[in-house]
Amino acid sequence: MSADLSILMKRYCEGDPRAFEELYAACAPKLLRYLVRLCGEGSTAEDLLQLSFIKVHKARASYVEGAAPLPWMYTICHRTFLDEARKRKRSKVIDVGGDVPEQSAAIDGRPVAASEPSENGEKLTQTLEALQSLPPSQRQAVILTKLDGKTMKEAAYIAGTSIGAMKVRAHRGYAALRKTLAGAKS
Amino acid sequence: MSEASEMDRKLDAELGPLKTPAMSEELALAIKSAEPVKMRRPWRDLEVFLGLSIPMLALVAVIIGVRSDLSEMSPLWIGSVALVWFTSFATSSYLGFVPAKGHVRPRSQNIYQVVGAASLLLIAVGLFATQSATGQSMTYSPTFSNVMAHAPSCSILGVTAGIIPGIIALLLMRRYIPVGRWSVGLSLGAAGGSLSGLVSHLHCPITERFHVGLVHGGCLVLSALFVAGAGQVLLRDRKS
Repeated sequence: MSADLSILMKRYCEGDPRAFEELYAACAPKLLRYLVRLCGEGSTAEDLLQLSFIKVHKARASYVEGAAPLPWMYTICHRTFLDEARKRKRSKVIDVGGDVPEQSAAIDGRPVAASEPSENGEKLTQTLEALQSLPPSQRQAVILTKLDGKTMKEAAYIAGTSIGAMKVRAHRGYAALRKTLAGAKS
Repeated sequence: MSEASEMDRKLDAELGPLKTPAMSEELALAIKSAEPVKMRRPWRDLEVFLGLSIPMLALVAVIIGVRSDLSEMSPLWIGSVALVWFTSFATSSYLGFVPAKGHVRPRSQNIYQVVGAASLLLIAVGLFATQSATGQSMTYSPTFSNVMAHAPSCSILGVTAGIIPGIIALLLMRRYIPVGRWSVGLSLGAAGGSLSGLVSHLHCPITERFHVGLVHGGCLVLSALFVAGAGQVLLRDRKS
């Protein structure tokens, strides 16, 4: 799979647009799943996915032949999510009393309120809200290691941290999540 | 079933099957008009960088001249100090250019560890392993004002000579690096700073330990930070 993706990436860098379409079809669902869990909002995740792929396209010359493109794309998605969250937080401060962007609450890490209008908002349940209540670094660790099934090494690579730090984040995040869910059940 | 997979199943059920989303117009247009690009070749970039920066700094050392007390120093000491500085240069250059096998992104964690360790080691070498040739080396009483008075010339030389190879390295990349720009810049700046620190060592006859440790060693830190800042500009998306 990874070898196929790197071949597709190579063909895409060599100017074959069909290779990009195949690459997009293979990677986009995985990355979208990751982004939905990260930001808790379907339409925002789709926007972030498009932004991330534009970054991938612009950065294709920095791709190293034979390397696995998917972990790199995960990292770009995560960076795009953080950049967007920062941007929205900033705009929220500037716009006090004015028009706050519709989905700012979801992307900056807090759960989407039930009354907020959103396409997928009503589908998200307690579990997803509990995940959203985690700090971003712990949420990312839980998503990558427990939900996306990445190894600690892969997750650490995507997050740009050490394996030890990733283990701590995942453990703390999972413990906090379990506590929240247990509290909600009782 | 483990709690994790149960939670995963729940989330999948709640999110529903994720289909491949349609490409946005902007993305589709960009792909349609995409031209072939040359992929990055990290080892070739590293070779070019070494081939340019080492002769360039050697030329600087020849132009500004070597210190008069060098012939009085122990060859073992000279060799050891040069080896430490050169190892820092080679390691930082390697990490800045060459990602781990099978990866695209730079090894940021390793870069932070190596640049941090190299900075501390080179400052420590200057502070605690400085050699002096009686009557030939220049030394002074280690007061704050004396250290500050003798700092500017070496700082300017060291930082300038350190930044130039770092910027050349960034220009060699000439690419948009969406993640890891800061660490790439830090690493390549540290590489330049290591080389310029070595040149400063070979040129400056001052053997006062605070000068050698903090001023010569500090060149590495300042170059690394400056080039990391430059990397934010030179490795960003130029069209946005």
